[in-house]
Amino acid sequence: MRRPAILPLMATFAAAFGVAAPTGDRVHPPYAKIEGRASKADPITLERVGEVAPNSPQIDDWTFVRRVWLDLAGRLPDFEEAQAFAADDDPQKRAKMIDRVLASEAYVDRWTAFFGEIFHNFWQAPEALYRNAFHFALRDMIAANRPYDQMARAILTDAGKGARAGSAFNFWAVEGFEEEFRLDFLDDQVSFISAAFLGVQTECVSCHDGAGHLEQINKGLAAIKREQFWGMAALLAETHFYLPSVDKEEAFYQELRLVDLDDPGFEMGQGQIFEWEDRFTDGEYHAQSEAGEGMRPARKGGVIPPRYLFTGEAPKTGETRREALARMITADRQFARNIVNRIWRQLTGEGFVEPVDAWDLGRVDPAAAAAFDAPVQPKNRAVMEWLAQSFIDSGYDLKALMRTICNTPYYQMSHAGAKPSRANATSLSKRARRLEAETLTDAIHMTLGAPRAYFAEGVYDRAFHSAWALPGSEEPSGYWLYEDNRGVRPGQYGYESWDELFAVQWLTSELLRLFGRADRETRGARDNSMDVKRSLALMNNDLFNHELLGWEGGSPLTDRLASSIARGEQTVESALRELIMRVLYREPTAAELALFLRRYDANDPQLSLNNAAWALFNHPDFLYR
Amino acid sequence: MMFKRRQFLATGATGLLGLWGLESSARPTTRPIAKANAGPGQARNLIFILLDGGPSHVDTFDLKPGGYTPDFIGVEDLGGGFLWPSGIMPKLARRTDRFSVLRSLSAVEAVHTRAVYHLLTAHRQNSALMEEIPHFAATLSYMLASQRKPGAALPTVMASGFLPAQNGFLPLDHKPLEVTADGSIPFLEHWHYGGDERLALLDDLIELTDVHRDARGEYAQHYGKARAMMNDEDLKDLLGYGLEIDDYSPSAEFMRQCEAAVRVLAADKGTRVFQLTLGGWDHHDQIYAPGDYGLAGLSQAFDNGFAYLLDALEGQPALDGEAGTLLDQTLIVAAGEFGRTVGRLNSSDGRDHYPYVSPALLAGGGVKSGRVIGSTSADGGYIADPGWSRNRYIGVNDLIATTFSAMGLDWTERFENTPSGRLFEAVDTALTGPVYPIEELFV
Repeated sequence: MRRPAILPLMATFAAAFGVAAPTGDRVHPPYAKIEGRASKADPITLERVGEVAPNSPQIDDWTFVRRVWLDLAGRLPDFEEAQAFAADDDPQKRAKMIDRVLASEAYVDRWTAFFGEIFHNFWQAPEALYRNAFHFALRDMIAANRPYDQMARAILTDAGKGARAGSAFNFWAVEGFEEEFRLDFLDDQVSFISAAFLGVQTECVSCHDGAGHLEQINKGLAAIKREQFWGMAALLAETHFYLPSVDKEEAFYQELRLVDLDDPGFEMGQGQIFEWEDRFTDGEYHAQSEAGEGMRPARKGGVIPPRYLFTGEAPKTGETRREALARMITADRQFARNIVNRIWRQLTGEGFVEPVDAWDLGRVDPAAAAAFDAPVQPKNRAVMEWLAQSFIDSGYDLKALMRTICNTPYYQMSHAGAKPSRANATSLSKRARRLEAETLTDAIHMTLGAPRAYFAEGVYDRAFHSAWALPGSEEPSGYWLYEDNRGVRPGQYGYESWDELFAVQWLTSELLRLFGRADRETRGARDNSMDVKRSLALMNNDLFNHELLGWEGGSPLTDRLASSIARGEQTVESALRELIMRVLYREPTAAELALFLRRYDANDPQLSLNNAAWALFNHPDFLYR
Repeated sequence: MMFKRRQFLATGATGLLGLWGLESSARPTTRPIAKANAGPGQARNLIFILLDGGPSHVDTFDLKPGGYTPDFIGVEDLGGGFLWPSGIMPKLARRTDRFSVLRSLSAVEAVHTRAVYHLLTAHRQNSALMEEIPHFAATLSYMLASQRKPGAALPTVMASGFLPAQNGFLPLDHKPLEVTADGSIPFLEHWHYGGDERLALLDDLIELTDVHRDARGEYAQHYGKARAMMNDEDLKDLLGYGLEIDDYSPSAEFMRQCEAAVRVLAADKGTRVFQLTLGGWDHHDQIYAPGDYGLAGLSQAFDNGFAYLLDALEGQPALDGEAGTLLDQTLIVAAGEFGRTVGRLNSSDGRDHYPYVSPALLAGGGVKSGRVIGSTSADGGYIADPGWSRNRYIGVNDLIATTFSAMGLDWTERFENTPSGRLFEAVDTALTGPVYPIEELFV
């Protein structure tokens, strides 16, 4: 292919209009030196986190119990439990409640989804074989609170059949199956690993040196050369997809596995490695490719020795390259910082560094940042480093990290009056956050006492009762149940017909998408914002309104309240008060209660209660936390 | 503090301010600091067609016949530089006097998301700034705010398709209102039992909520706009609500978007900018395969839609009592995020991403039609003649600057006081140097 003539023209323009050129006279460390050990006694107080609005009070018990369940478990607390909690006078009750949520099943589902999103776990093979295997592997690790460094090592060194229980094969297949050129697969996988485990986007330096391109974008990466990136990719060069026998085509997906040629236990046997090109099967990263081969510019570097991107460290004797990579990544302090940042953001609404995968390792350490004459990147760096250190000291204990954060006064601060955040602020401020798509869908159904059963492709032995529990963002789906003639039948799980089952699966999937669930396949980020389209959908969609609150009648909750009024067990006022509290988790104001009473039609209690529930689900105090 | 929202809950499209004109309730976060340039300004509206996926330029707008060119392309020399694929774009073949082709346009990004981001924001994607960079149409909306008429029921920008950016740091009023691939707005009606009573209850309830200076406060704004749209019966037809659809082909879908754009612009209810999307051009494999999603199918879909826009807008009188037609007042731009590799097909009989040549079609809004600007090498691999006064290839940001200029807006407008503290330029020049509107299109 002819080299386009416009490239030199572009370079001329860059020069003419002052795009920074590399000077080469100042060499900066690519990223911050490891911080000194922070004192364990260093508390995270409101003052330490900073920029707290004046008069920010601590939240009341109702707000606390709602918040901690929403943040840690993606669901509202059971109403009766919240009531008992508010009435409890145990001074330790908040700490105990945090532990109780951390021990819940909902916690496991919520954080499995959290990691499924980071690792882009999506449908890759018939019956979602690999996605499901990885999903349940992650779920088991979260349930067991597996130390995060062990979790990372298990994923980064995963080998064996992709279809086996506990397999993390899909972590490799999501790139491997998409890419048509071996070197691009290796480069992609390095970018993916850096973003997921270190919060650093290295994609830029997979095509060109950082110098001359990234000075204004990322000081740390500006100092990285493309060849250093290749060194990291060389740590993956021994890793291949492998088929032990080629004569059983129908078992292809069952038999396909990931192997390391440098694993002493590996024997080629009758099988073959799934090569893109013969020249890339010797376990080395040959930085030798032409323009047009794959999607990156030509590589001219010969055989690249395996090196860790950020330190230049080489593998030790006796370990495979991937074992070396897993060891170096988990030993990198940035590995701890990254997950601390992601979890802090999830729990408090704003990360120390945002976006969470845009860390600039040249601006973490104040001295390094000063050398660049640039501001330190993380807000409240001291708090971030303190959390990272205590996370490391705890043995990478995810639950302990979350427990620490949720027990801080900062976490338990009221959002009311918090200043809007500014990206260039040096400290954090809290933001009200809309309930995630999954939480919203679950909360409406659960509050009304009408949970739905959802199904996911390739999982034949169960229904899911929470949107968070689904193994991928393609779900729920239903058609395969019918197509494969397996598992569920109409008459089960409250579905009377295939039509009804399909409709609910499809409508739920559409609503989850509409309300901003992350799309793992296209890597579309989760979007918890609100807009006109979503406001219309919330008010008027069929799923929430038709059966539960529309023509088809009532929900278990509103039916119960209606009959309780009819039997004289509750006054209208007490029923309405209960309904309001069950949706908003707070006492109604006098004006609100008066409004609901005024709008209540004694001739049609069921309709009145359905209308009240419907209105409450469109109230900001339900939609936000 | 309580805040009376009644005024915008109940009044609907006839309200005093118009629901999409509540600028006063949004905290101003921007401050223009330069006012130097404004273009011809004949265009009142903009229709921007994103050809998502990147059409193969050598098979379409910059046709380069070769041994690879199948017969169905129907290579035809229509004169004036229009070597045209009449087999797959027959309607436009008969309308070359009504649009112009820009052949010296060059993109820089070669990955879809980044390239579309660049095209729709006039900024290169930078993850650190993504939250604050608006869609270029949101910037247009901000700059057009003073021209909004009282009672305007619809936002300045409506958009269909992939939207990698929204209002960014600009106030919420400038967020494009998303429409479906059918050009419609779903859920416009509460047809469920209890409708009127429950809506009245909710209106009253929202009125009782505290005003929050946070996302909850924004929710009340969204809610108010949503309710007003539900109250405006005219909008239901305008926005294709309840449209009976039996043809889901990309061609039919794109045509519905085009029809919606014409309806909405002609109705003059506040919308000035409409993004349409015809996707599926990422033909790495089997580019010449038959079917709706092959090059031929999509080209015909585009041909139908674009020709419809020309005819339908021309069939509508100009707004505001001006002479001419709605086409004279509406700039139409069609562009993909990049071109595709040239010459022989790749080993999968397709073409891969190729940013260097990425032509666009323009019409209406004062564009002098029937012309071809710029030319490329024999194989379409590089730009041979930029064909404009700047003597360099035309960049994506020049194209976007042209939309500002055509609408009489200053493309060099800059904003301080952004969340990041970085200066925001309506059209970025930091990475490319100065940008210029393509004046040759208008003279």
